[in-house]
Amino acid sequence: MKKIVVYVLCSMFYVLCLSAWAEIITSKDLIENAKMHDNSVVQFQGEVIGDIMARGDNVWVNIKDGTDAIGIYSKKDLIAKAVRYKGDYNYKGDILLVKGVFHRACPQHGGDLDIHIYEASKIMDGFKTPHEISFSKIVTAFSLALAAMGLAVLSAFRRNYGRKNKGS
Amino acid sequence: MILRPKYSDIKIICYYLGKIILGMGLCMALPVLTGMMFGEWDAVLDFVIAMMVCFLFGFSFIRLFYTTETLGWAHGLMVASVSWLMAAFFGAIPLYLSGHFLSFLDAYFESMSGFATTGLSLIQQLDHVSFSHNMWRHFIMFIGGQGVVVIALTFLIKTAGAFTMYAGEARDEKILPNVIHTARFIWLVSLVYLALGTAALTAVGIFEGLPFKKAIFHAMWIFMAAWDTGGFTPQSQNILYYHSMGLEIITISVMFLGALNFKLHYAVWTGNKKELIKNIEVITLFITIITTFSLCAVGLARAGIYPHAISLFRKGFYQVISGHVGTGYSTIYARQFITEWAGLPIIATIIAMALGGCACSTAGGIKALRIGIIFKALRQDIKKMLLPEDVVVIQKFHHIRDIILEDKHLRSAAMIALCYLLLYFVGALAGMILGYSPLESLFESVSATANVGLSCGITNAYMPALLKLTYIFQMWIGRLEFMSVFVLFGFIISMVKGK
Repeated sequence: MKKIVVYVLCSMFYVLCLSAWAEIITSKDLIENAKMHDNSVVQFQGEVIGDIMARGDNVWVNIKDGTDAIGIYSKKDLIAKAVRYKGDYNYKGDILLVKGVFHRACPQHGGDLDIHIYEASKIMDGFKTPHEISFSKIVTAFSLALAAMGLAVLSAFRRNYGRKNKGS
Repeated sequence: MILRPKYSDIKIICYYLGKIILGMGLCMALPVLTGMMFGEWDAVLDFVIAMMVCFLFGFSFIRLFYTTETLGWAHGLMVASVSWLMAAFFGAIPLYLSGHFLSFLDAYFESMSGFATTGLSLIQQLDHVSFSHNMWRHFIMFIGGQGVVVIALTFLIKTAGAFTMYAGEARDEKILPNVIHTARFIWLVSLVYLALGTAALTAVGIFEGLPFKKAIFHAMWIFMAAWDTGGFTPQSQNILYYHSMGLEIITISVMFLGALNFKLHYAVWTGNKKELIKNIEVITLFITIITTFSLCAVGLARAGIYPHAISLFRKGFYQVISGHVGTGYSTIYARQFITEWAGLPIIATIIAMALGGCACSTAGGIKALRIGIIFKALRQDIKKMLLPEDVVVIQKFHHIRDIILEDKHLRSAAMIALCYLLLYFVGALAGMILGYSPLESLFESVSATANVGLSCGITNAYMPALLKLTYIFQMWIGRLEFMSVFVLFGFIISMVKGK
């Protein structure tokens, strides 16, 4: 009986740990409850935005979950394997799931709020964002340009006409 | 008896407004070129549309209200106050067309924040904004920092009443005898620093792992917003995005230089380096920065957030100096001000923001010169009380030259300081009425009025429209330092009630 109770308790503890680990934390939660999560292992998911900035054997990459972007510090090869598209005007970045240690004020990086990761996996591929030229914008721009040019010519003509009249 | 303005008054104002709008349209050539360089044709169209709207309005105003009459004081102040509202309106058109704003009001907020060099932002998906729109966001800060009227004076307006417009932009000090030469000097200083600052920031950017092209553009934009004590950045995490101490050191230097009086720059450029240690503004600014940072550091140390002194200094000093000089660059998240910095650190940051940089600079807030004068006057009064009645106490202060402190200096300084304090309070009250906590409301209100741009999280696209309008008003009136806006109100009243 005693063995069964210990087994059940251990199993419950393992499941609880697993569910806690499996839960993906949000940037809002990390920022609002930074003290609570300090130095704990977290899973964070979001879009890779901007650039991968190399610092020796490591890199900085910023991942945004829709609310805020969090700085991710990682080994170079870990990110190089996982990331293809980085989010900017032309691309929607890859969606990454990362796991690592969260720092409310990182002692290694001047007090930055960051995550030092040791696992990264791609959840979804990024893609090129289409930027089709809007036909209505072309028509509007063309019409306004014509009107502005007409007004400028009219102004110049009237000014010249006025000068001639003054002269005569 | 109030006199109703004549049609000729309105003609003069509209004629010069037309020229300024035309200038605004010409400024849009820069983002157009940027868009063409990066093949962002959809974005280019946004700017072509906005540019043409500016030309249409500009030419119409110049044609319809053509006049050769000289600007009077009231006209100049009116032109200054209205031109900022109009510049923000026309500047908002390409921003709204980008599709990164939920409403035109949000785009107008962003544009006013840019021109007023505040840095509060309502943009959506900033990390996916085009190079051309980012160029515009930062360029309007560069224009606004120097002054919308200053740019027009430099290139488009050559008139006898130019000083009135120049003064209306909260620049009551002429650096050179001629106001157009003064405007050109302001641009010369800014462009020289732009070249140097961009080069330094590009080098740091490349060293920290940014691609070459991006390093150049990010460097230019960060310089523009730092020098003009603006605070916009091309990435949503602000300066934290770069995770770079080198970049933090350079931006601190640039924003500090931007917060210095252009008259002081002129003195140093012409070899008078002693001015740097004698000037009342520099001394006051130095004392207030040290005091507010010390308060912040004590608070942060007590809270025990940062693991060692270097991180505490790096985070504390950066936010305090950025708030003090009115830039609004940050290396912490907006909500951390409330969740981590609550207590002494946030109070120190609010005080720093409220005090501001130097007069005749790109900074906002009450200004170091006024604080210095008020303290000198206080010292004089205490001396008077301590000495026998028949002793005449003369108090001097050094600002480019030695000046005897008179009642008119104190009156002017105290009046503007009081106006700022009232506006800080009114904005905070608006925030509280709309359901935010007193501390958050005060923080955001001071940030908007002093044209700082640090946020504790209130400013976002989903905040009440009434609060957006309040902050737009605060940014505008705070940037122009009240007088020209009061003249505008007076003008409107005289139109209605005048005889």
